Amino acid sequence: MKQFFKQFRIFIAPIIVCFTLGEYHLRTNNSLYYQEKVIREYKTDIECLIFGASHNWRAINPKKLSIKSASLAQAGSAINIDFLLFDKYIDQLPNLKTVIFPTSVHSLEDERDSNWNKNHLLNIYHGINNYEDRIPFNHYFLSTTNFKNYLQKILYTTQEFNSHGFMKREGTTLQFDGNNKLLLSPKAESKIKNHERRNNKKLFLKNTTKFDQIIQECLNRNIKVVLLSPPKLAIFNNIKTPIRERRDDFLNRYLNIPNVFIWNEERTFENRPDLFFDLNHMNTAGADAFTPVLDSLLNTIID
Amino acid sequence: MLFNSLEFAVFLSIFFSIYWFVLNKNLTYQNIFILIGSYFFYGCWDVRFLSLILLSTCVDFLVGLKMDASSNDTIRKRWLWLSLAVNLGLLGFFKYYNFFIESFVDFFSYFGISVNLSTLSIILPVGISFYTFQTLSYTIDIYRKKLKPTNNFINFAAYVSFFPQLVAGPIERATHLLPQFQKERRFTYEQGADGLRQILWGLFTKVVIADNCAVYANYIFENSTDLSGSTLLIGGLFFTFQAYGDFSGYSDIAIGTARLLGFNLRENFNYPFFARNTAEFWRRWHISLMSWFRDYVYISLGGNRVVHLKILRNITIVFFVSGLWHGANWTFINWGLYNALLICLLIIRGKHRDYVGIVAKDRLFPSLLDLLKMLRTVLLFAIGLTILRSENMVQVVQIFDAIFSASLFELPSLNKQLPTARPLFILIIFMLVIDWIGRREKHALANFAVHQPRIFRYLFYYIILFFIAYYGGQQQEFFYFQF
Repeated sequence: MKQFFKQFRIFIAPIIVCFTLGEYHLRTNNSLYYQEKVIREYKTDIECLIFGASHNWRAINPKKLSIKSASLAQAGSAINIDFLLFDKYIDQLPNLKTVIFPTSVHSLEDERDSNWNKNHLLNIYHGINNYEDRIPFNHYFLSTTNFKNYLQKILYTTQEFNSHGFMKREGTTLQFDGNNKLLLSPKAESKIKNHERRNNKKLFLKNTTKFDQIIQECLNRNIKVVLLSPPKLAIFNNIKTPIRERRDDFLNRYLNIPNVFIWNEERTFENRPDLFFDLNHMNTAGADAFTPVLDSLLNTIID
Repeated sequence: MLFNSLEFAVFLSIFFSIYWFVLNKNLTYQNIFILIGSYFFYGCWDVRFLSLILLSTCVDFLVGLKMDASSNDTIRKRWLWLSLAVNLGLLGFFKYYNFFIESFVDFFSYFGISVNLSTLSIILPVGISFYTFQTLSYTIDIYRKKLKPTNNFINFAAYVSFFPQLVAGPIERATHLLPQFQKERRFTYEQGADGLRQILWGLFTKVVIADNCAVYANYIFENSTDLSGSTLLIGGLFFTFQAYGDFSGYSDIAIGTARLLGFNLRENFNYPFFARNTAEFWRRWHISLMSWFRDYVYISLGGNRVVHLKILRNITIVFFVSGLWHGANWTFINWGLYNALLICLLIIRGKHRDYVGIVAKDRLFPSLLDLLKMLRTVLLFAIGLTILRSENMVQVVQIFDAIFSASLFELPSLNKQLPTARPLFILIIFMLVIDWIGRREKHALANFAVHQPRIFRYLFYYIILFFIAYYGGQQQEFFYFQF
């Protein structure tokens, strides 16, 4: 038995070392790590909380806002995840004055269920269980959740984040250069329409019902609510689909409600492809351009 | 709790430590611990079905003692019938009730007679086909006076529920496994290291080969109506590798785990892809089940000590029952009959005992003729598995219609959404090469590179671990759990 354990230790030691180092590297090099750290360290100071999916995550650099802000926006997220995060943190931020919710197209008709590939991150960093049942054991570690994906991240990614979890350097060389195949394709419009067809009314009703409750809760707590859609390119903005009409109808309900602000900034930089990563996501230069715009808007509503 | 999960790794580590470090001085405590661990392991699937194992255990324990206590053959036979009735009754109810009801109603409706019988919503308890056969071997062997019953209930219950092989075999005989519960077990370095090697290889074949092949096989079988004959044939081959990787992988992990605990389980797969005809193939595939049928069905029917025609009948019955054992569907039964046909043809031609040894035993490579024979055998088996994998006989007909049509010569087409199959082909070849090198051993890694310096050996194991982690497909249940 002694010999067995001795040999086993020799065999397993390099694996444990690699695993530990890899796990540490992964855990401390992603935007959720920094986002959670900001919230933990500045709980009593945070005045503005930003929710949303990739549109908000890429368009807003919270570090550059003049009020103390934290972002919980994530690529691939959806409004139901925002609601979970809201419920988790609302009681922990005593100085919170403003929340920014996403209202980009899709925002109200998406949902991330128990199969979402970022559920493990939600659990590891925020302690939120978005699985149907108990959390799979291997999902307690990044490297065992999806070894292939995370190994590629270690080996190839060049993403860099600032202290607020904003991506200050792209992980890929993708940069919108006006020659995007989709933009030039005569089928661009039909592709986007097809993409937006997958959304559905049922989810819209479910999300907006919950959204109404969340907004009301914010108002009850004297927190201002910003319903934000960050800039998109003109070709994207000019398309009309039913889900956009539904979104606008929902927003119209809040047009004259005090302390609810509807900031549709979709057309703000719509003719500046150099600020975009693709048709509807800004790049880092775009965030540098849009964050001051947002900052000045926020300053207009601060008491 | 699946073998290919972190939960099992943690469970096994804790179990192993307590088993050898805390309880190693006391055999009874070790067996009680095995029993508790096994019930916990099974309970992780569905606690309710523990009662079925317990029932089967109690009945067979009692039957064993009663048969041994009586010298009257009539009384002994009655006790045996009780054991058969309980075990096969449980199996029949949970596995076949709906099938027989549906077939009965279909049969009468064919003649225009409407029979009003309703099916039940029954969940199949995982592993029921395996542990009922295991307990049956105990009572039948006592009836045949090949085995003395144990009067230690703990040992017997631990034998029935032994977690490494509880849910998908190998189906152990009481004559082989039960005595191992009754004598002191010692841990040896060689046994432990070999167990780990076998577990490693089992994980590779399950997680890398089977789970990845499953993605393609599932897609092809689910979309069979839209695909060409060539694609469907490839689907059959993918499923063949899935079934092998899945089941032999499970068996390797089971045997390796048992070895870590000081037990020796029977071999369940003996490199079936290197068989040169179907008869040899079936001596190498799911050995524990086929030998069970040989000993308790085939020999009971007279075996091969009867006239030629009856041998063919016995073979057909064995494969019919084997098909039925796999599940309640005509596809399983027809799969069994298809294999019976292949074996019968070999018997008629006197070819069924042609190959009993290891292929290319003293050579590095097989001869071209042997290679062609092996390919033919695998292809015939893949055709059989296509029947087994199909949803129903309508799909079987549709698939074979497509395979035996001009579309067989079209370029295979797979959904562009599927991951590229190229790494998988390379990994399958890697598996076959390692299997080929290890074909003289009990498992592929048993003697692989053991005489090489440690650094090379470990490097090889690290590479396999890397393959498991990197190429591991989406975690899927073991295919044979459904049986």
